[in-house]
Amino acid sequence: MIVAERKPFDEIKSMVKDCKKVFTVGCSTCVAVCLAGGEKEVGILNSELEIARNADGNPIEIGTATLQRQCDTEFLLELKGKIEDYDAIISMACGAGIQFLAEHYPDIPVFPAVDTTSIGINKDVGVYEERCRACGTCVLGMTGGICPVTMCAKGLYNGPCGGTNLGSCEINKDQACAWFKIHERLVKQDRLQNIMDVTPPNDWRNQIPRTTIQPAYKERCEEQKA
Amino acid sequence: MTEITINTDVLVVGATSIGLKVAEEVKNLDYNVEVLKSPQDLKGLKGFAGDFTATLDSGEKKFGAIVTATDFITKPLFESYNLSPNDKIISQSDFEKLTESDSLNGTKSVVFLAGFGQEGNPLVMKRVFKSVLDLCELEDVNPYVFVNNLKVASKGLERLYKEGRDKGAIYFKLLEKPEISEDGSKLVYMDQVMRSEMELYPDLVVVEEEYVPCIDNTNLACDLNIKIAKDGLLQMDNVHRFPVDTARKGIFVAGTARRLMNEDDIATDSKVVALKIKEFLGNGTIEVPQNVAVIDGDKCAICLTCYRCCPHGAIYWQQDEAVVSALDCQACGNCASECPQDAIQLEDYKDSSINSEIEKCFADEKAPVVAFCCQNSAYEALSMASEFDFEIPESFKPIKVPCAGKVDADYILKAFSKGAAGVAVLACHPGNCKSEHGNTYAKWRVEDIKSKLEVIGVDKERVLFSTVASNMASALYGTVKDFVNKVK
Repeated sequence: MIVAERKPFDEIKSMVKDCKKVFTVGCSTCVAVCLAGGEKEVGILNSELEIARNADGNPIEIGTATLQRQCDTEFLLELKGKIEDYDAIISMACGAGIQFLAEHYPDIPVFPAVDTTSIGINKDVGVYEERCRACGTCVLGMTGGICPVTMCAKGLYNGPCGGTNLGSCEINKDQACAWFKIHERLVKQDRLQNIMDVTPPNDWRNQIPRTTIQPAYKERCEEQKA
Repeated sequence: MTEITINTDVLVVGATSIGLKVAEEVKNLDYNVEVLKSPQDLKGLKGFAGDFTATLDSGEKKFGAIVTATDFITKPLFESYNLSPNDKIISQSDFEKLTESDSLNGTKSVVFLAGFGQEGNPLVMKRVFKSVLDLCELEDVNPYVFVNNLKVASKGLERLYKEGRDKGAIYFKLLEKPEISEDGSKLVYMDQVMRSEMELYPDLVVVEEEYVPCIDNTNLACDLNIKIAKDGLLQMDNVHRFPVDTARKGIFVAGTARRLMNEDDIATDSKVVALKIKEFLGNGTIEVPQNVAVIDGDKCAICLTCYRCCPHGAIYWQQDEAVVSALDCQACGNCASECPQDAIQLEDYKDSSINSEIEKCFADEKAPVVAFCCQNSAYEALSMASEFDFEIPESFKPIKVPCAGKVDADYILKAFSKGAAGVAVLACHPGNCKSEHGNTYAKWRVEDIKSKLEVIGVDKERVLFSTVASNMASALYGTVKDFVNKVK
């Protein structure tokens, strides 16, 4: 899932300081699962804003909705007719959702209430670890299911650097060395041969705004464009 | 069978000639009718057949059925005659306004131009004939009509034409359009009888107009979630549907929203629309069909693929699952084959039963040719072929599907993994799918499967996508025989 965390309250408060009426939009998918922007967090943020603004003697009117996903037009259209009278929208979705929301309602300022941190996994309630950088060319088959792009601080493709230190990474003693782990797992699976050849570098020129069209849909996509 | 109660109020979009006629007919059937002046008055539409919620200026209102009744608009064809309008060169509509307000004083000769800017049509001609007759009523006015083809295939039109001629109007049927001076004072033309160039000095030149579909049709189609044809009209050519029906139940397309019509056609069409509305609304109780698509809410990832692919606008979502409106569903199965979670099953064509149909193909044949046949075309054509004693090869095993769009990529691959010599997907002709795009989706899917097969080392020519009409038994027989010969 996409992992996000709530922005500090003061940052959010200052973004909407000139607004009399704001509309907070939550997202029921990834950010709800990682406890950052679901219906509950929307309610909490709204209360915080109300209390703080009342204390400032500058009350704020807040409207609210939590959509299934902010990355689908159909769900975003559910806001139509509800948000036009507001001075601003606060989105609690990931960066993709926030941008898509802003794209659909370009006349209203949209402010982010969360920082999108990673594509990660759920370690425990409220604990998430990054596992994927969406590099676009997965090498997990070769590396025994451990991502060197994400887990190695230098994103190396051909073994550890000189900073590997008895299983730890030089940046931090608690951070495992990805290549140490990769080696360990491949030995265990008797697949060490996997990493004996030199792996060519990833084509990092792919880090542009990417559009993915599933092969089965390429033709229909082209026809619809025409 | 479950019976439900539906709303029986009818919303007519467009206070046009057809709109008002439909409203009158529907009122006569004792249904409540509301007529919107223009499509722009409809601010939004939600819901389904028998339970639509329209957003109007007055607020939200419920309706059981919707009728689109937009009209054409006219556009003068000055450019086609290399003219620009001025006080001596005017459009047919402007001329009609002049006649109505008796402002033709001092005009002695009037030239009408028709049939050169567009292929003539009876509606255009009728307006010219009427204007000519209006002029004949005035003293000392000479009407001249320069025309390409005179189109009079409509009730009373030839009589109108003759009447004008009898009263003194002069018609020139030319092969090339006349040349007119920029100010409209001089007209030069090649006279077909005299075989020489002639000149005329008119006081007024009246230019024909073309009829173009209402520009609001695009937005209206979008609001109603129906398809718009390439020409901007609200009906796709589809042999499987009654002309006033759309792909969505409870939404009808009347008269000039669909094609150019004269008054008689409009009168007839309004009756047809009223009959279809009555057929649908009845007395307000309706049986819910049982053989529709059913979504397993537990499996549904609410990806909206089914909603986006449903040709009949029958799918919506609530909370965290997609739901099928049983009244709207036409059981084509396009949603089921697109669903990434296999969460949708058609009552009569469950994945399990199609898989066992595939299984049966191998009962007496080690390497059969499995053919998925659309029930609306290929399956019919196949029955006709056996009726006519065409010898369909024994190894050819047809499986009936509700629409080629129901053929899941998985069915094709499953047949190959069991050892099929070939797989055919036989669909309706382009533009002829009862479910709008089922055949096209099937074609795309087959293309995708072909590239997958090529990669895994199976000759892609072992998959066939072909289109056929239900009455093409002989052609289908040829296709089947060739394909079987090729892959066996």
